[in-house]
Amino acid sequence: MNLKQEVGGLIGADRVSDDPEVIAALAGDMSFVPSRSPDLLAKPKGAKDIQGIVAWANQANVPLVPVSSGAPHSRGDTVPSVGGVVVDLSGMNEILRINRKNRVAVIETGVTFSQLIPELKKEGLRLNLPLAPRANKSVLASGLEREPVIIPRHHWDAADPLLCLEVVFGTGEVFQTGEASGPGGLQGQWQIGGAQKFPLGPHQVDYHKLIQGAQGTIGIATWASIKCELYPVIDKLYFLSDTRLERLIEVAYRLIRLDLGDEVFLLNNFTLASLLAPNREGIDKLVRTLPPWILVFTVCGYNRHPEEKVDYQEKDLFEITQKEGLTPGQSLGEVKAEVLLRVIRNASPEPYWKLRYGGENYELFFITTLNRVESFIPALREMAVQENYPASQIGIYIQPVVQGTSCHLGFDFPCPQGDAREKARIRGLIEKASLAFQKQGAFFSRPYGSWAQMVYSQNTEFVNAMKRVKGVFDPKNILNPGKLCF
Amino acid sequence: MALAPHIYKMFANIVGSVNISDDPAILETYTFTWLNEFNNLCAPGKFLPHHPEAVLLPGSTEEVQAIVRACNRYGIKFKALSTGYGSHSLPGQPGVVVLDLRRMDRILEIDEKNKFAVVEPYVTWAQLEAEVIKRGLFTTPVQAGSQASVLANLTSGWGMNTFGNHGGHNGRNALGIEWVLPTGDLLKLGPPGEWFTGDGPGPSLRGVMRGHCGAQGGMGVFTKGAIKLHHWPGPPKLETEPGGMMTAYLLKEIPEFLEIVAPCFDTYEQMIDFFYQVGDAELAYAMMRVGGAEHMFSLMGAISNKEMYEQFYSTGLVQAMAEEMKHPCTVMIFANSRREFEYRKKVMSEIVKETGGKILEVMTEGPMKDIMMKQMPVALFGNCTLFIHHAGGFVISSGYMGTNESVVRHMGIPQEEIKGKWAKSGKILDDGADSTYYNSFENNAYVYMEMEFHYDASNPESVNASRQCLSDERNQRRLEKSGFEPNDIGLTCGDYEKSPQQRIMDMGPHYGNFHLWQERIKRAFDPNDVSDRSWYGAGLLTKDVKIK
Ligand SMILES: Cc1cc2nc3c(=O)[nH]c(=O)nc-3n(C[C@H](O)[C@H](O)[C@H](O)COP(=O)(O)OP(=O)(O)OC[C@H]3O[C@@H](n4cnc5c(N)ncnc54)[C@H](O)[C@@H]3O)c2cc1C
Repeated sequence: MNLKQEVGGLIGADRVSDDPEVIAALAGDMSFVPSRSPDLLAKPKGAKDIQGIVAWANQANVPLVPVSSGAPHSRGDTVPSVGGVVVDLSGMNEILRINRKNRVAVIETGVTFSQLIPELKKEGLRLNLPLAPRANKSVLASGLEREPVIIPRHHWDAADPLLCLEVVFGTGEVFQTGEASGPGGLQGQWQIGGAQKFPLGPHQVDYHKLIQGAQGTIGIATWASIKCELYPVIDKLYFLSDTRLERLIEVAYRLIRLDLGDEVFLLNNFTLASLLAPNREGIDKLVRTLPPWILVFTVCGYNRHPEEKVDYQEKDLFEITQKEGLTPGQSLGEVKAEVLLRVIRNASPEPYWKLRYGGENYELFFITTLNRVESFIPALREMAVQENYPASQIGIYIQPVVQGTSCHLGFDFPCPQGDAREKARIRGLIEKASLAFQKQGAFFSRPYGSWAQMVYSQNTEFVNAMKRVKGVFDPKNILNPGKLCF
Repeated sequence: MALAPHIYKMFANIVGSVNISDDPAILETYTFTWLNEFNNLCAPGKFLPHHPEAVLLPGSTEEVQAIVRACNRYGIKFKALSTGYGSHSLPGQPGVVVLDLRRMDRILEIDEKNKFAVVEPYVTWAQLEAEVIKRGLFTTPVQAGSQASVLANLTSGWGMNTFGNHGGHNGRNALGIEWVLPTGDLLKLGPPGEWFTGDGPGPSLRGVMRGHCGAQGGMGVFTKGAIKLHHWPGPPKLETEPGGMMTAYLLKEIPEFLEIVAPCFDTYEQMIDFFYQVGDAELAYAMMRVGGAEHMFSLMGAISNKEMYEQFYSTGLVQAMAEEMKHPCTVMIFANSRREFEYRKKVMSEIVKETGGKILEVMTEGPMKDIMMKQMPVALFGNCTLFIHHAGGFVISSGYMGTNESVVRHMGIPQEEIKGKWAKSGKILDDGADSTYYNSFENNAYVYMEMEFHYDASNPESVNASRQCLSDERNQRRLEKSGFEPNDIGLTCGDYEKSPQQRIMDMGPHYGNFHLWQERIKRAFDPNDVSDRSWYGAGLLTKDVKIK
């Protein structure tokens, strides 16, 4: 028997493939992680299939690499380190429940942003979204990756908006986390008024926190409940721009502190142009018309006296901006607020906004605090100049997270498609900057690719503890071996 | 001396001879906490059966590490406690040394801009609150009272709190944490030397740290931790003056944009509707139901039973209000500007009306007016533990976390029924079969509900009645198939007639065999089994727990 027959025997012959073209497409992504082919693609239909595959993999000692989103992938986490079976979960894409009352959706792992956003809107709900995510990105996977989301006020904990999960651990055992644990299953719990909103537990372990950020190395999630927010009745987006970041950061701090505004984030002109313009020429043209730094925030009214709610927020907000000598506006040169509002309330149209400039894009991101952001940016620009990378083409995105207790600082480096030299140059720049920034206190909380080695070599105690966890949930290292510290 | 002399000497070398004791009189105090009488290990007595071998007062992380390492080497069990407010903080088995962390009592940092504070284990809510409101920030003190440890709640036990609607559940408020693992290794969650996050790199080990209920001493010792804070719209200091009843002092001035709204509802359905509407509109700084009438009055209006009787019972007020105040809610509006305040008040009164809420005159006029506006905020901010005085002793049902509907349906209603029966027997306090604590979190994203049972702590019959009442409650719901509902907070508590081990065996299979997973984690993190596991959800090691 070969792999194909064995796995096909478990989940159906039509759900496995070793077609060389299919396999080749899974062998690499848009990252610096070396390409390596899997041996097989498997497309399970549900938890039972997954359990079967995991049990088999344990016996056969074959690695499994879970994937939920559509291509292109860009962080190396779904590139097999040692071959094995890519477990493609994108076909498990049923929206199991949308519950307006409790502001929650329960979705299978393959449900994408472009699929869920309109369905939620019909019910008067929305997601606390990442910044214009890829249309075919899995909502659940985005949550598992702790991608930063754009409404800091609703981001109570780093785990949000991911709440409860069903997971097949590396041991092959199925488990439901948080409020979803316990008798009845989803249906039974809904019948008694439950909604899988409380994420902690059961009891003395927060399983969701161990699965999150694990790049598929602890368990394979089948469904999750996702925290949703109300869709505004009145929706206004404002720009606040400046030549320097300092005052904008002050304003961002105040807005978050006072729960004013919904979406709050900061961008440089290049990122804003990339979000709005369709291609390289458009981006180049638009960037020239934009100020260097832009704070974007929205002011929203809901079903109860929305105008009045917007009105008081605007007045309170304007007092804050005035103090800093800044005036918010609903346009920025030729850019209109409504246009950006549409962009940030949806998944990105194709091509994905990060790919519009060069066709390829490489990322550098970490967690810091807003008041430290400025200490990284000039240093990065200097390094870019040293490496001959045009500093004006670096996208910068600053997202306050966990109610403003910290922020995500992200840099995007567009690269001409297929240009190996440029890619190498960017790689050098990112690696150099990463090392320098780590020394400076940047926290690479989501260590993809070579960052894993960089952060874990500095934190042996964490590695030891994580290995203990791994030993409990995936003792045979079946799940995505070679990632993180495993 | 139960510890071998050389071991005692070794511990004394670590902490200093003035910071260690095995004096029987001292050790005896570490078997006692108030309310112990309902604990199955000693009920109806007051002293737990297991004396510690010694009590150590470490003064630093390094000392904690040295003690834990020594425990591993010599096979001695240890149990850490911060403020020690319940039997969960005391040894649950023989051969344990207690690490009483009271010398580690500093607030290490308050990061005003990034809204967090870093504390040591013996920093209390009162201590932290007093410092952070000066900086326009507030915290999330628990109903256990302002004298309880911040860090213990953040890392090791529960997390339900009065200001959860705006400040969140403390299980979700932890950022960077310093943690001496059961092996003695030092683990820092989040970036080295920084506190702004505790998640990653990669998976978050906060997952092993805590869960819903906290490891309760079964997973090493937490020595420092950062707690997320939230905005305080009030003045940097609250001036008070003597007066009133429940706290014996009143606010001199009500902060400018603060109002307490206390609507009463006839039915749970109406009340639930109210919670949802207020949650959707994000109006409340705090939102809870504490009630019914007897509970509400005794909580708010009296510092002693005598006063309560004279003020409210002998006048017939409580009896008269029982029907009207079936579901009394307390909501705090606390705004940042006049405009926001006016908007919130307007929407609030609209919601009260729409959902059938009644604002009772008795609460807004006469003596209750001052109590509501000047005393209630003090009690809430000061987080007074007021609900225990009626009968001298109290115990809670296990408590539930979930949606409004699920907790009311599966806890509130059945418990009222059972409690009603017991109250009639005269053995527990007749509080109208009510006394729930019901609190909203994160703008009503989820709620917590528990019911209190008040008994006469000096009367074994009354103590036993309250314990039986709780067992009845659990047993009845266990009979209904769907009666187990998600996220029973106690899981292993709430049935005080059984040993923790029995409760775990009971509940584990209904909750994904969590006890087996916890046992595996326990073995992985505590290979020598030294961090006292008696309150950890794997239970004491018995042959009943089969691990693959
Ligand atoms: C009347 C009453 C009301 C309560 N109300 C609430 C409530 O509303 N919300 C709520 O969340 N809880 C409540 N509790 C439970 C508990 O008291 C609290 O969670 C409290 O925050 C913890 O303080 P403590 O003094 O009990 O802590 P401790 O007894 O010091 O510790 C609690 C547990 O954590 C362990 N522990 C403490 N410190 C450490 C440490 N540094 N390292 C490792 N383990 C440690 C202890 O061994 C113990 O098991 C209540 C308890 C009582 C008696």
